[in-house]
Amino acid sequence: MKNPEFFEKTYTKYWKKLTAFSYTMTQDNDLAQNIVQDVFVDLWERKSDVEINAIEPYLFRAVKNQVFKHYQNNKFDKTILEDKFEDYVIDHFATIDPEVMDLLYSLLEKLPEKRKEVLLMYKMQDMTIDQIADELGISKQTVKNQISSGLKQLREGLKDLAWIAPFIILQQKF
Amino acid sequence: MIKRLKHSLEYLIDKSAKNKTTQAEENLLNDFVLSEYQNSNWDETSMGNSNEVSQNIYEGIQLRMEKKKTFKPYFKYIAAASILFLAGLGFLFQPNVANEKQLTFKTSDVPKSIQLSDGSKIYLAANSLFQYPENFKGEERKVCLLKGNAFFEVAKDKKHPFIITSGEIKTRVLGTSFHIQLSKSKCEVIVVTGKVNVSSKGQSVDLMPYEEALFSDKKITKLPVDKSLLINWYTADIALNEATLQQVITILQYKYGVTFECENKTFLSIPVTVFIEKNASLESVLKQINYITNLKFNVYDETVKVN
Repeated sequence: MKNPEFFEKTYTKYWKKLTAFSYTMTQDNDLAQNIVQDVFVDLWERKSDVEINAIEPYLFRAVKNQVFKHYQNNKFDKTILEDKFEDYVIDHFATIDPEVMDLLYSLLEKLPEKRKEVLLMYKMQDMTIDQIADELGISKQTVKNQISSGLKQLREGLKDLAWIAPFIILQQKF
Repeated sequence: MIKRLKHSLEYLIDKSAKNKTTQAEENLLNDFVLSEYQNSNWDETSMGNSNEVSQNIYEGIQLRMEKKKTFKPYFKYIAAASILFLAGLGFLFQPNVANEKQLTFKTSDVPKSIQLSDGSKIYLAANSLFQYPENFKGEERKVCLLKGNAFFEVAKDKKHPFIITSGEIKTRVLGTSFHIQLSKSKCEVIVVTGKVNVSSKGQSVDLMPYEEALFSDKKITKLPVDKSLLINWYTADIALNEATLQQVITILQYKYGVTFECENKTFLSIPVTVFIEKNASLESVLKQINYITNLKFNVYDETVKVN
């Protein structure tokens, strides 16, 4: 980039959102600020120009990649981002691409039959606890318990992929 | 066998770093991070004062750019020098350009500003033409005002003097801010802060703040400056209260690079109060003055006739 005016404008417009973003993921102020600094220095040194209307996606990707790099190098407390990822997967259960869902289903397969059924009704069919209790003829408390232990187990599964990885590799061979 | 723990996120990130993720896995990662992006907000208590943080980050960026020498002092030393260059003479003059790739910067109806590779900032009046190298190389920082007016804020760099050629005169900045105006018959340099040297064919004057060099009929004369005219027409809105029409016209000449011709000099002492917005067009300002004074302004290219 050879345009100081555009550079300055871009900085002014996006620095705040990007810093907040990298802080949200790392929970480390110094690291978050360094990441944003690196991203802007890279932007300035880029040989080819970034299209003006593509600048925000570009900056977003650049920060994302930096955060991932620091994650791989253990530069911040990884459990924060990992917890967020677990929450995200569990919250977006129903909308996640079926291809990745294989991974989740394989986790679900490990659940006891009843627990799996309750969890799928709750997460995939968007049913309320009352509706599930009615449908299955069990108490609301049992539904709640099944959901919470199901989610917990799912979360555990997301935390430890060691024993699920071979399953995925097999899947890909077909 | 020791069970190796690997979080699903780590699994995906590692895979993504090796470009081995499937489209669906990449989407999941991306959507997750995008939701983090969309939900992120500045939180003063955990993140601190945003102005301080912004400054902090920016300074770090500058420092690293300086180190790599691709980006010299950008904000830091600005306004080491500022000059008003009121220029016009010989705009066919070609400065000797060594190996530097030259760029031109031209304004039409409204004034604009530009930042040079050394961090110097140039505010170019309307109807002006300025030439500068893409990157400064060599001992001196040479630029050229080919037409019109400009205000310079020269970044401080003692080792590389900043030299502006305008018509037959050269303005050398010894560390400072100034204006330059070039018109068909004369060239004026007005210093706002710092020290400036103006020379032409064996003549040379040093200017201090609030001094002006007038180059006309091949002679350089040093004059004091009416301080009221040294408002920054280049960056801010201008409010002129009970100023004379002469003063208003002078400012318009700087800002829009036009010349006024007034047949009846008595008009020039008429008091007027005008407000000139930073990005106002000349037409709108003239309309305003016409409304107050009933004087008619006819614009012919870069000349305004007053009746």
